[in-house]
Amino acid sequence: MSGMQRIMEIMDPTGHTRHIWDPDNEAEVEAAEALYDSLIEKGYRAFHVAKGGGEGNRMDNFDPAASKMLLVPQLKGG
Amino acid sequence: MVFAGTGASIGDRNYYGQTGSTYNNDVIWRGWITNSDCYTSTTTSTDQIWNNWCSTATIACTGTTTNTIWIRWCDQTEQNLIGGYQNYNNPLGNQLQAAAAMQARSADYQAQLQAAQERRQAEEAERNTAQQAASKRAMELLRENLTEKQRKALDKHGWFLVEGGRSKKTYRVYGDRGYAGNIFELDDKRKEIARYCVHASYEIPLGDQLLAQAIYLTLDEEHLIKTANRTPMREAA
Repeated sequence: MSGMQRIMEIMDPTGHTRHIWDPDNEAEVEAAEALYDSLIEKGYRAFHVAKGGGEGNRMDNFDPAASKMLLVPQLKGG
Repeated sequence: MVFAGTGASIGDRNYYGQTGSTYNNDVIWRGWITNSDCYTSTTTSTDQIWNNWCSTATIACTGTTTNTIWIRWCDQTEQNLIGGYQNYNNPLGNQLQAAAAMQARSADYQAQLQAAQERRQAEEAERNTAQQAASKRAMELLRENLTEKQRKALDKHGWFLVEGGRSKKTYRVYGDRGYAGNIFELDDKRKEIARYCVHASYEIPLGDQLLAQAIYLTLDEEHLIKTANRTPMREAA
């Protein structure tokens, strides 16, 4: 997967915000990780997902090599 | 507008607020005597009033005749009616001036009100457009992350099925019932046996809410079940 762009889809009031980075670009990776950490601090949970749905796993740490991740807001009981 | 002179027309209202159309000097004079705040005594003669008025009038000066004073008084009254300046001897002039000012303020207020209303409408339209765009983007993200089978079910039935990642139970997630209490646990015969109420922040559009529910059910079911309010519906078959 090296050299391909990585995607972080962040659910938010705009529908979602897409953040893209190059895993070979150190500055971009750092920026992506900083964004990831700030969202986790806000209560978001990160999931590594495959395109087309169905597959994936919950992420406990930022993985710069993850091809696509979803940042999902914290759930609340209704 | 003319308020003096024989047969002069002054419009709709005279100095005393009376409606009329034609006045002459006598009418004005008699009215002035009758309504004057200073000379209310019935024993006061016209001559006394006139002489007093001439002696105290600010425009009086050497050589001023009663005739010139009278003409000046008539002219002055007309100016005051137009509202040129404040004059205690001409309350109607003051009232007209105040009314004009009030009308101007009212027009200004109406303009401000209309501008504020237009701003609100523009902001609301902008908000609606942004919300529609957000809803569309969220639905696109949802569909992008559903399986083909789930997308078809959503299009056909308004719901899609999700298998619990840990329990392997089947959940029906309704996409057309809002995002609170829209998750149902199914038994082996696909009967709904429990309802779950759980959602993300209300600021998140529906598509994102549904995707969040589906993702948690698939990849972090335990957390969703622990967070949700569960309402049993019927015993499993």
